[in-house]
Amino acid sequence: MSSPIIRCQDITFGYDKENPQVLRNIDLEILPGEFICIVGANGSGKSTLAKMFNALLVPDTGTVTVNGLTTAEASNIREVRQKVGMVFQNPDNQIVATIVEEDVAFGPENLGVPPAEIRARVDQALKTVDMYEYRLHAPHLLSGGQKQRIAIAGILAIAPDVIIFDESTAMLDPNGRQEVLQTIKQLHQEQHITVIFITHHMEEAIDADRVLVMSAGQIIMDDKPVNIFCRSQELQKYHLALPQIAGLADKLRECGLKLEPGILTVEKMVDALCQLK
Amino acid sequence: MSIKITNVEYIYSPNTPFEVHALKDINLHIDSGSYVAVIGQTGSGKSTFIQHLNGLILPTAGQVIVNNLDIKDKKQRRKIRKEVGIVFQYPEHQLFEETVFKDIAFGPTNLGFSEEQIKEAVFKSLKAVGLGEELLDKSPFDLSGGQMRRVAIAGVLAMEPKILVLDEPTAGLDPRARQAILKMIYRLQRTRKLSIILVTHDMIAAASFAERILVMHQGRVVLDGSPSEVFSHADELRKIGLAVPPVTLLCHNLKQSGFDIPDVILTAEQALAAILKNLEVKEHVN
Ligand SMILES: Nc1ncnc2c1ncn2[C@@H]1O[C@H](COP(=O)(O)OP(=O)(O)OP(=O)(O)O)[C@@H](O)[C@H]1O
Ligand SMILES: Nc1ncnc2c1ncn2[C@@H]1O[C@H](COP(=O)(O)OP(=O)(O)OP(=O)(O)O)[C@@H](O)[C@H]1O
Ligand SMILES: [Mg+2]
Ligand SMILES: [Mg+2]
Repeated sequence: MSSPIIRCQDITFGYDKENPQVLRNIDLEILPGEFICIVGANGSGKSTLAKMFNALLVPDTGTVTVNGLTTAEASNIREVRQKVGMVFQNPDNQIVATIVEEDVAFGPENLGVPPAEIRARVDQALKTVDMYEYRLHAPHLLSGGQKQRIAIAGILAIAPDVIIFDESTAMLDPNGRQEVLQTIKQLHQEQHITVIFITHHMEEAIDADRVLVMSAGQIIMDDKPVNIFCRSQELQKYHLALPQIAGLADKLRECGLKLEPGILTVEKMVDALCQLK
Repeated sequence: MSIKITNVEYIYSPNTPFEVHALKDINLHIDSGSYVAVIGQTGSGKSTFIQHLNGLILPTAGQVIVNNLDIKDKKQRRKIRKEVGIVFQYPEHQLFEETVFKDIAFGPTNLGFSEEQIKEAVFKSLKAVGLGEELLDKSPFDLSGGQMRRVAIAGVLAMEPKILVLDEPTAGLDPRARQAILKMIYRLQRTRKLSIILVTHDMIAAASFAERILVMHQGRVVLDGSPSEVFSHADELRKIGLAVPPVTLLCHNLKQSGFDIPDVILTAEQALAAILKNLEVKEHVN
């Protein structure tokens, strides 16, 4: 077993006196190459936890290490940020330049990547998110979903080992969401990038290796998606819901149908129901 | 309070290399009190379209008439703005006051509500979006993404508009909050007779709540009908970047595998009933 790329040891964090316990006693290990999905109610601490992973925030007590480097050590920050990139909830917060390709080049430039290499990375990143033809446009004049893709390209160009996506598909249309998710899965499979994916769309958690459920600053479930999605009552308590098909499977079971556990997709449901007919 | 849109065209940055023809030949009549969902691929023109409804953007050509008032007329536009409330995409950009209370109170204050009315409007809309009063003294910038969004919606609700336009209001909300906001919007339409125009990428929401769905593609309205009409065009929708709700797809596939199922299923409840019917029949036959 390889050693964790990110490790949180008993971390606690508060923004100010009124919010002393935004993260409470979190212990967590993330292995290189894992695809982890974090879900949880608004305000449960997902973004705060994610910011711990790339040293945007450091814990009040406990330690966070990235590849063995303590994030609280100022001299480690540069290396930590090179290893762990983050695509934020709102792409406008990330847009820094007036031309798309300059915006995407910003990260690698900051890291001192040679110009020819930057050119190649920027082109590649823009093609990956299907925005290459917009490379000379002004990012602030793009549509919401287009901006989201530019933000993702900006992180891809840094070529980090770990990418955190904080609700990065929230503004995409169904197809765009599918495409971006596919892109992320491909990066994960082909380049072995560790993915930490924060979302409110439960369907997007179906293919993750692990799902973390957060509530009130704690990780209260940490398991494979099938094991999470059979706990529908508990999930509701934490403001979550099942993917639509899993919810339907639950209702059908309540009505006495003998459906196997773990039916999360349309294909599986069609198979299962055809067998019953 | 009906909306009439005739031959509307909109061009961003005309006569520059970045010219974008964002709306093309839009013709629509939206009845007072109706619930209309607008769906369409990223960049299809949805946000551009809804900004015409209160004159934030004026049409390059064509006419927008709201409640018999012409949006191009400056005086009439001011009246229209009182009636048409828009919750923008990324509404957290609408937040700017130092406390949540002041932020929600901004609209009603501007409209000249009395102190008492302002207070009432703030508390009422805070409750409608499901936030607790303990947040009222916090800075809106110290809230989580989902909390900010709810504050922004509350701010528009507090002005008590007759037409409520929401651009992706549920993006970033957790499943419970998403459901709560959608139900709240639906209730506002039913009880206060508000017209609702909901821009969304959430096909499940469009299928469950809207009476009418407009599908936009490359600046045009390419489909316009009831949810069952629109979602019966699964292939066309897929081609333009959209999808049908998972249960709609499921029932379509079951039908092709020999299940006896109505043409277009829109909700999990409908799917449940239709599937059970098929399997019960089987038990009798056996
Ligand atoms: N800058 C800040 N200052 C003070 N409190 C904050 C700040 N940012 C977040 N909080 C508070 O910390 C808690 C956790 O916020 P966080 O943004 O981590 O939640 P989240 O799970 O990402 O929520 P969402 O799903 O809405 O994005 C919330 O109660 C929030 O109000
Ligand atoms: N201020 C602007 N200046 C120039 N072009 C713009 C501007 N705003 C939008 N556009 C362009 O107009 C087209 C329509 O954009 P619009 O924002 O209306 O799309 P949308 O359907 O709301 O997309 P999304 O689902 O991503 O929010 C896009 O091609 C976009 O790049
Ligand atoms: Mg967040
Ligand atoms: Mg938009």
